[in-house]
Amino acid sequence: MAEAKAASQKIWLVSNDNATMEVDRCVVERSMLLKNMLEDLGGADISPENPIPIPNVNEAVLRKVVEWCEHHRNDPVTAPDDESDARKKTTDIEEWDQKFMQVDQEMLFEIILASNFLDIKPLLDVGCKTVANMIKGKSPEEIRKTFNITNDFSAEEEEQIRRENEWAEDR
Amino acid sequence: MSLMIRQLLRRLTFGKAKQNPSCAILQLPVEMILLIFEHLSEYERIILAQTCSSLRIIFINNYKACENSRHPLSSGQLDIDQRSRFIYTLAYRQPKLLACYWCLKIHTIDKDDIPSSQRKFHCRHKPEPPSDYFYWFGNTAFSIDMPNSP
Repeated sequence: MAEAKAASQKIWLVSNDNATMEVDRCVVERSMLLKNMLEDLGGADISPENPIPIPNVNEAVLRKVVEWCEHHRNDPVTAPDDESDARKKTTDIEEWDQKFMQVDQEMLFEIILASNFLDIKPLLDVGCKTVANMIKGKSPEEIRKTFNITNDFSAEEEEQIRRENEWAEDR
Repeated sequence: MSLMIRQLLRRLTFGKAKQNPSCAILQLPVEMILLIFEHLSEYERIILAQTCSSLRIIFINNYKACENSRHPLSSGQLDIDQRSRFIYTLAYRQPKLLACYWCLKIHTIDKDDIPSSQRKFHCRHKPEPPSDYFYWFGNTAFSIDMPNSP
């Protein structure tokens, strides 16, 4: 009974640009940072007038993160032991998450930063996998174009890389 | 002396191109960049480390000291499977390059070698491939032309 009450309990968050949003406690608890914070606080003092401030995260990004947490509210919480190397290596992303990550690069990297700050490991994982998938199958020049990276190697570094790749050269 | 200083200044200011300050991926903290590296295979990490000096430094500093200290730090240290993926990725979508899995090199395509058909290709590094051997041209596999036996 007490648990059901806690699950439907509302929590208010405020972004760094002063947008307040109401979220179910069980959704907020996808964030380990906020889960621990609420446990310490007992959740008593949170109200629309006294929301939890989320510094470094603006409204657009916070809404995206909350949207992800809403969709994944019933996912089992993975134990740290489950994070085997095999799981880390795969870059398969479930369909809903793939669609969710179809955002511009700025937003994608903001989501990664926010999920790291809020300690939402599965979302951080999806974000990093999305970036990895944008890298896979591309040559250095194609990667530079994708992410707007400038080739800032000095002549010496260029020469060193050329020597490293020499085995593949047709002579 | 003044020449040395001038050369040093030149190297500091002109020797390196400035990194684009609006490059979002390079704004990430190093730990996040390393998480992205973790989702790549060995040859993909080496390709990513060949894009700019920051990513190269992050890659080398992390993987030379990681728990698996045998992680290859340059393309020449990759095993055969990872090497073939490496050359395939570099030659892919390059109309003048061809990844040869037979000799594990990237061939530049000489038009004289291929008068009428792209299939007439002989690897000059390693003769006599098996008859069922194929090579990749762009993203398409072709069987290699066997030289006539003498």
